[in-house]
Amino acid sequence: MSLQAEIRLTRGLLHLGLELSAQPGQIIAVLGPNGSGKTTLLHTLAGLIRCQQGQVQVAGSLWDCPARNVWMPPAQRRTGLVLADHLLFPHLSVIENVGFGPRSRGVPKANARARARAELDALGLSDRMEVRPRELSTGQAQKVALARALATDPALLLLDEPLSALDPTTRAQTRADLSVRLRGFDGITILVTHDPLDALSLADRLVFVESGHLVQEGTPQEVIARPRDPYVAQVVGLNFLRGRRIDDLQVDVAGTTVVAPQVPSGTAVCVTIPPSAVALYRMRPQGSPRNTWPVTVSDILLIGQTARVSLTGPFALVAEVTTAAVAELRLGVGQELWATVKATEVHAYPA
Amino acid sequence: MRSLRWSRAGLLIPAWVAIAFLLVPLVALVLKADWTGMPAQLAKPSVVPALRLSLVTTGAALVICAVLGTPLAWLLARSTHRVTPWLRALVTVPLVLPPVVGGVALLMAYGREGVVGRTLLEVAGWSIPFTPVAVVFAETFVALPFYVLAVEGSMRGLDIRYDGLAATLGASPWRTFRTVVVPMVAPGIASGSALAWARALGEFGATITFAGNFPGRTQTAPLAVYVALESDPQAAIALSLVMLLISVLILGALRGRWLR
Repeated sequence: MSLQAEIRLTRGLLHLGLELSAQPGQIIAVLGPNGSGKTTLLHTLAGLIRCQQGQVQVAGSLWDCPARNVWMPPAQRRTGLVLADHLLFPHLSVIENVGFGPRSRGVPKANARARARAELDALGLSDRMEVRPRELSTGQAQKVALARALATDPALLLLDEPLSALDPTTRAQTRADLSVRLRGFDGITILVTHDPLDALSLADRLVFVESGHLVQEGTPQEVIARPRDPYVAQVVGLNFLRGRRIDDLQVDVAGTTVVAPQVPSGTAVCVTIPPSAVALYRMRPQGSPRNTWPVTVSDILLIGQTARVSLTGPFALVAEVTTAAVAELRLGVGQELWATVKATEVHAYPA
Repeated sequence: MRSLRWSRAGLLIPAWVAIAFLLVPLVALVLKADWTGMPAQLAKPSVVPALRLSLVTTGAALVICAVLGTPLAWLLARSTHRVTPWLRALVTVPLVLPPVVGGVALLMAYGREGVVGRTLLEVAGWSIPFTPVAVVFAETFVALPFYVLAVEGSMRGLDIRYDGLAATLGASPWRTFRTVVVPMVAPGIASGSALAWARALGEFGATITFAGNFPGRTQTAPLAVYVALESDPQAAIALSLVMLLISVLILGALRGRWLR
């Protein structure tokens, strides 16, 4: 039941060139900015779009291989698709929606209903089986869409931003339900998202895509420890800088020296700085850490008790400070400040 | 204030004239009717067969519209082929064509000497013109475009992602069409059917040209009204009122549920 895919195609401005492999039971999150080709990837796996080069092989059977003139239509593939808006069939009851897949695959009506009932039970929707989709809440509708996709025993479960249309409270609860259900699913799940929380809380492996190409993949721990790209770093919430090694303790970032506890050998170096490690001062601090830079405030965003302060200077930085600090420093856009970071908070690793 | 009142009157007066223009003939039809003699008028031998023929042939035309027109609407709504816009324009032609011209065209195609009609006669021994089948042909010819355009509009409003989704669930294109598309455009199919049926019921020019005017065989209600107007005006009025009633009922059903 493993997945081996190499997908190459051009659609409009997008040039997709991705290799993807997964083992049964794995949940893979695909992250990337809008227009990076995430949805096209899912549609190609589902058979709604054809590869131009490469191949898709699932559980040993070839689904798509232009070179050998093989293409399996979507109805014969074993995929389940869930989109951001549930797209339940409005004229069918919930249980008929979930039974639609088995019925389409020739399962007798009674068996299809039994299967649909089991799927809905597993998601705690036993009391909503006979209603129409319009009577469901958004979270329930999305879970029914998941049940409908799972009722065909897919080898590949394709989730395209499944939680993005939900309000925050519903999203948290639905994410929890999704997590529980997916742990019991023995196929491969591919979750397209741009919510870091979805990816970090649900996935075994993260795949970052930009402009149709892979930029990084790894377990969430690996990615958080060593992001290789500004977008990846932004998703995991870190300041990311690229520089050149000066010596064992110093990195040159765009002409400014950044001091770290250790710097790996090799010229090209990546540096991350947690936003919470960036401290802000109105005056240049005396006896200050060696990482002290003049910066200008470009944006301030309040989240609960903390403020995310975007800074420009020798390089772009984000600082996380308390709301008390915002008041104390009388922070405002355009204000000039000093930012300091302790060397021990700087993480330098090979690019 | 005064100029405002005048300018408003400048709009209101033509509007009311238009309403009167449309309404007066209908009211006249009701006023001129011999209501006490109505049952006798409707029971006349020239009236009953015409009404029955109209109901049977328009029913058949509607069935043909649904069976052929729904898949055609699907094709027009979903196909991205470059000839599709031309096909759509072609389907619209009978909508604007004078019905008499449609009748002549049908005669040229399916008449005894027609392009297709001659072969039909030689091979199968079928002769279509001047039969009830010809009435159905004429009615379908003028009604089908109404049906197709109404249903196509409603299918185009349907989210195309349903197709792909149904396919991933294992549904063949035919199953998707039958169990997803058709039920979801049911309101469009209903309004298309009503429009097409009303158009078929009123068909005159193509019918008289292609099917003739034989009482009991090809004389539909509109033809019977036209003929009776000379010899038996009260029968013509009675038949006209029945058709007015049917039209109003269709319109009421459409407004209540599907139009707007």
